[in-house]
Amino acid sequence: MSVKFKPNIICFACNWCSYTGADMAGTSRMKYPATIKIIRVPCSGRVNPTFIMKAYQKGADGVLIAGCHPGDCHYNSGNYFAKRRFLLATRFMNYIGIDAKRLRMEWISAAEGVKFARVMAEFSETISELGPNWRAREEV
Amino acid sequence: MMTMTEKMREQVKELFVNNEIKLFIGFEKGFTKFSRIPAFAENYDEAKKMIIDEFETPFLAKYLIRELEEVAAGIVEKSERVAILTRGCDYLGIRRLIVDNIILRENIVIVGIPCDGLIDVKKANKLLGEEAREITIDEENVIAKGKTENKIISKAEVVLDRCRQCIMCEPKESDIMLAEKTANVKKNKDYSKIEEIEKMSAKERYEFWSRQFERCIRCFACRDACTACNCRKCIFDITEPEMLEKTVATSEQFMFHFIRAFHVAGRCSACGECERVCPVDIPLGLLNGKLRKDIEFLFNVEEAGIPSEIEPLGEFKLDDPDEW
Repeated sequence: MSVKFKPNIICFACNWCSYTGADMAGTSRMKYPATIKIIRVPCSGRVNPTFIMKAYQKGADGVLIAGCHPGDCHYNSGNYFAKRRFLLATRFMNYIGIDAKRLRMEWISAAEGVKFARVMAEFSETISELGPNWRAREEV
Repeated sequence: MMTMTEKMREQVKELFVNNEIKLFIGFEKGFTKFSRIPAFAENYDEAKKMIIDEFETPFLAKYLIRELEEVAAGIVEKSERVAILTRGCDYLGIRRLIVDNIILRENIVIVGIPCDGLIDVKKANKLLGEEAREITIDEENVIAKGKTENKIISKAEVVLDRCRQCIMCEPKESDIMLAEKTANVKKNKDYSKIEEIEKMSAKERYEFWSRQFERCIRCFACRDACTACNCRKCIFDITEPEMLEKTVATSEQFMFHFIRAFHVAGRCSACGECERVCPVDIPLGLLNGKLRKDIEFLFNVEEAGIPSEIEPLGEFKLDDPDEW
């Protein structure tokens, strides 16, 4: 008997846009998969690439970083720095063999509850297809 | 014509006599015939043992932190100066420390040496087929003497790997220059090895790096040797939060190497010292090189190795690329 694989996805959501977007999705009674665990961060610029590696190490199958649209950052420029950092980090992770498809970055504003639900469903689907991540994962 | 060693002694004598410096940092002979180790001189007599030649040498720039950090921070109210032997790559390291406000330029006397690449004794031994007993270096060739036979090898064959991709053959600015610029060998940025790895499949890449990282003994030599790794409190040393755990496991090795490489992203000056000091020969240059390559490609930086006031990851442009 095979059990359907349920992915573990960590979403780093920025406090001002994406987390509020998730709230929006919730208050509007929209459905999105329960595989997503949201971690609230002050800004997408707060997310250190090390967090992503740590997430993979502790058993995440995918990591999603959600922040404000460029130009909308509560701190003016945090998401631009984040963008540069993740442009580099994604390529670097891919280079050391961790599939780049498991990492995704999205701009989701506070009003985009629909987009939040859609992105989560899409990403959960992608990770389900990719299967569990064993690379750089802690042996238990 | 005076050799560089003689000229250095003359200059150092002058500096000590005029009371311009309190310390001189250079090289002396190490435990084996061809190894060179750092040497520190507080007066001229101590500086007499120092030599300059073309054998592989350690980096000296990192010692400036120990000597000058407190002076730069204003804890010690003395304007002490330190003279240091500087090749082009050392200069990039010193520049890194100055840009990071760790040390001040006015406290350093840069004694410049033009450099055409350092000799890797291991390579010479390999070509000779035995342990060389005597190695002489002239303008173009290296003559290695073995038990019975001598071998003349061209310099380009035995030069250190990192010297092939050198981006600065002599310090850009110096207080004292010990020789005229050498006719330097044409060097090219070489990303071919990195491109080879990029062409592999994700699985192959993961297996390749697992093989490399599993050798790691986490001695932190790469961190200690690197001038870009100049944080006063290193993330690997703190236990709260414990980003790097003590378990010996592949995942921790990946964690360590990812953090180390990414912390010097945009700050690495391609000196290759991390690779040189690595006791288990992990190709760290391929990690740092990949980051430099991407920075140059993504953010239109001409030469990612040269330290600038604003780092590539410390700024942004509105038209940065969008694809992940």
